[in-house]
Amino acid sequence: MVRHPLRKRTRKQKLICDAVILLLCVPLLIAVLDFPIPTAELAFRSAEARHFFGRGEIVLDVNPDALGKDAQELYLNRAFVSRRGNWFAYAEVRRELLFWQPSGGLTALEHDPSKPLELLAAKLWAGRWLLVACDLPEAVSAEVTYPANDGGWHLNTRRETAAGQGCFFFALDEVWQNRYGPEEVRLRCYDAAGNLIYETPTPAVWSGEYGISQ
Amino acid sequence: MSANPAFVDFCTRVCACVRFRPDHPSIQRELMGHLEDRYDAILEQEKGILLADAQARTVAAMGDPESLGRYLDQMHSPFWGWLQIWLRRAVWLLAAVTIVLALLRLEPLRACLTAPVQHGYVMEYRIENNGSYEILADWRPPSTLRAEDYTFSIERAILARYRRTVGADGEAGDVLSLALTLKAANINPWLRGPDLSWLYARDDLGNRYYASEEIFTTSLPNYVRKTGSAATVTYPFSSYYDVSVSGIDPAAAEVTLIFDRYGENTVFLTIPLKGGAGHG
Repeated sequence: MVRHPLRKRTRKQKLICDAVILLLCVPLLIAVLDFPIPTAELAFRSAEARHFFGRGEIVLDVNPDALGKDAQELYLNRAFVSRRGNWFAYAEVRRELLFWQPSGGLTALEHDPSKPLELLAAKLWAGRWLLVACDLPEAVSAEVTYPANDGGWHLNTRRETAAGQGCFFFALDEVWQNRYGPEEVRLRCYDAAGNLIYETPTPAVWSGEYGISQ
Repeated sequence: MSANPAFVDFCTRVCACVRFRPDHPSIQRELMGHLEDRYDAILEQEKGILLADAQARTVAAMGDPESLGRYLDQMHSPFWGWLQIWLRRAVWLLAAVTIVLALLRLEPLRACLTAPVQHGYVMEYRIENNGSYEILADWRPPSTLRAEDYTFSIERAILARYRRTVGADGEAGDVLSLALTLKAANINPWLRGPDLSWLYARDDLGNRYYASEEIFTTSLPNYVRKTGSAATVTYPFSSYYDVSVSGIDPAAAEVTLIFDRYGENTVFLTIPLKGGAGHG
């Protein structure tokens, strides 16, 4: 019977040669491409480390639709919220062809654990959003109410059921004037049956500064 | 010497059973070698044998061509054969693309590896020194710090004295200004360019030099002592920052750079103020 030891060795040698070339090429290609980040989550982790936030637990993965038109026009394709102790971190990432990059900075927000429901911060340009920390395990939806101006002052209410672990994320389509920051926002949260389980006090600025009567 | 038609026919029948066509020439070559060796041996052993008989015996000695072909078909699997061919093509294409890209980006790649020091605006301004400052010291502090994923070191420090407004009433006084080129080195290139906008400083007298981000977010008056930090250049394995601590009390002997945004001291780098009043 004819055997092919020579041919088998040659094929093995070719495979080894290909593997060696591949091992040399891949790191060089990664360096040439300026160390691209393969996934959105890794890009977010990179943002966390660059801002010394530490590795938080990702509690919310915000999809591109929720980020709004402004954000999409700026190619901010995805965002994450992570939590480490009482700190929340929010960062957007953008897609660059096959890879991902952190986009701009990381917003770190400290939650006061004595407040069961707290508006942490708002971003009002390039994707308007509010982040509400919620320590009530029975809360399944949250509601924000804030002054808006469409030719006259009135109250806008947004309700959100897509919760992260311990937080609610509100992407806003309309402009929130945000003259007084969190002091002009009322927060409410509801249980699964739709019962109100907690609300923050009605902001005094609604009637005092905006002249809004309820 | 032209190929023997009987041998060619045998090889063709064997190869007909081997599905992986790219290996047919090499199989034919090898079979032909065996056939000719055996043919020569028969001719040598049996003097006077007819050539046609010798050929027939040679072919018969090789066995049934179809069973040999089926065996060789197992050895030359089309799946592994084509996989190797396409793998090789892909690897060489990747190598070619990599080499072309590397040649196009030779200068950035060189910079990646060497990461030459680059001073920022404040440091360059101090180096040029247009006469409005008195340079007290220009040195390279030995302080280094390993914090989380980064190693911080100071490439150059310039301590200068100048007069400026030091209080809310507009009174002027001598203060010190420390300009630093801070280097943050990281092994992981995906973590390049740490954000130091919350970096502030404190001297040994207890004065706080507010971070630019603190000043921006809390609207502090412009006469407060400040720490400025801006990335000058970012390479995959190291980044340089233009750090300035301004309005330093002339009696201070050392300044500590601090980053404790999340309640823990992440960066804590102390720089002795050579030439300051605190050093006599």
